[in-house]
Amino acid sequence: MHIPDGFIPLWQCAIYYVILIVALYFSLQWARKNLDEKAVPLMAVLAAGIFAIMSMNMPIPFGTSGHMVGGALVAIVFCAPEAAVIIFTLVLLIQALFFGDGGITALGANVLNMGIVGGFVGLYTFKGLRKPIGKYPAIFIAAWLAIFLAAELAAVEMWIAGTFPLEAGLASMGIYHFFIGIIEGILTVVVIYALEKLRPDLLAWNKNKKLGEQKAEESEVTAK
Amino acid sequence: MSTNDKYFIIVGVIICLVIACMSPFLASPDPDGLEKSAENVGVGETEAAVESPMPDYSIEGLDKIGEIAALAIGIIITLIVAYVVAMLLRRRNPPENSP
Repeated sequence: MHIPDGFIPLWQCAIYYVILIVALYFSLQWARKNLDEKAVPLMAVLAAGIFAIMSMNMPIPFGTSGHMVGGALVAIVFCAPEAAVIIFTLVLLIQALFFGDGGITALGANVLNMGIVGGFVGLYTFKGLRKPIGKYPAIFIAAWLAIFLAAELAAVEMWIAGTFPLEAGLASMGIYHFFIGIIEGILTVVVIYALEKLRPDLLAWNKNKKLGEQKAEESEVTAK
Repeated sequence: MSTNDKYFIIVGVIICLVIACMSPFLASPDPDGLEKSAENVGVGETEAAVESPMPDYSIEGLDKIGEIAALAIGIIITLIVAYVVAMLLRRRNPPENSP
C-alpha cells in the first residue's frame, strides 16, 4: 500500500510531513530513554526483515496481491509504537530513494499509515485483547486490524487528495486488505512465536517484569 | 556485541536473503491492493519525483538475478542503516554504569 508520488497534492504531502516530524520527535525521545543497546540488533534485523517481506507479494482474490507490512509486529515486539515509527521511516525512505516503491513526497503519508497507525492500532489492540482472548489470538487480530485500518486510512487520504472517490476507495482497499490482513496476522504470530521460543530476552514484555519493578521504585523516589 | 546477538543477526539476514531469493519467483505479479484500487477508480500510473537507481526492485538488463541482487542490496542497506541509526538513538547509560 505504498502511495506513489503524484497521488497526493504537494501541500497535503507537507501536512503529512509535519505529522511525521512530530512523531519522529517523540520517537527519538522514546529511544533515548528506552532503546537498550541490546535491542539494537533486533531493530536492525526487524528493519531488514520488513524490507524483505514487503517484496513478497502474495496473491489474494480479485486479481490483486498484497504483502505483509509489520507495523503491529514491531510495536508489539518493542511494546512501543515509537519503534515502528523509527523502523518504518527508515525502510520507507530506503524503498522510495533506491527502489521507487512509494513516493518520496508521500513518505509522510506512508509512514503515518503503516508505521504510526499500524503501530498504535497493533499495540493497543493487542494490549486490550491479550487478557480476554489470549496472547496469540490477540496478536493475530491486532495485526489484522492494524493493516486493515492503515489501508482504509490510505483510502481516506486518497479521497482528501481527490484521487479516489470515498466509497469506492474504502470498499476497494477494505476488501483487498481484509485478505492481506489474514496473511499479515498469521505471519505476525509466527514471527513472535519464533522469537518467544528462540530469543525470549528480546521481547519487551519479558523485560517489563524487571523494568516494572524499577519504575515503581523510581516513581516512589520521585514521589517523595 | 555478544555471540548470541551475532547469531541473531546472521540468522536474521539469512532468512531475509532466502526471502529475497524466493520472492522474484513466488511473488504475485498482480498489482497490489492500492494499485488495483487506483485502477478500479480509473487513476493511472504517475511519475516518481526522483529517479531511483533500481526501480521496482530490478536492475536493468538483468532478469531474475537482477531482482534477487536488488533485494539483497536493499536488505543489506536497510540492516546497516537501521543498525547505525539505532546505535545513535539508543539510551546512553550514565558513565558510572557503562563498562
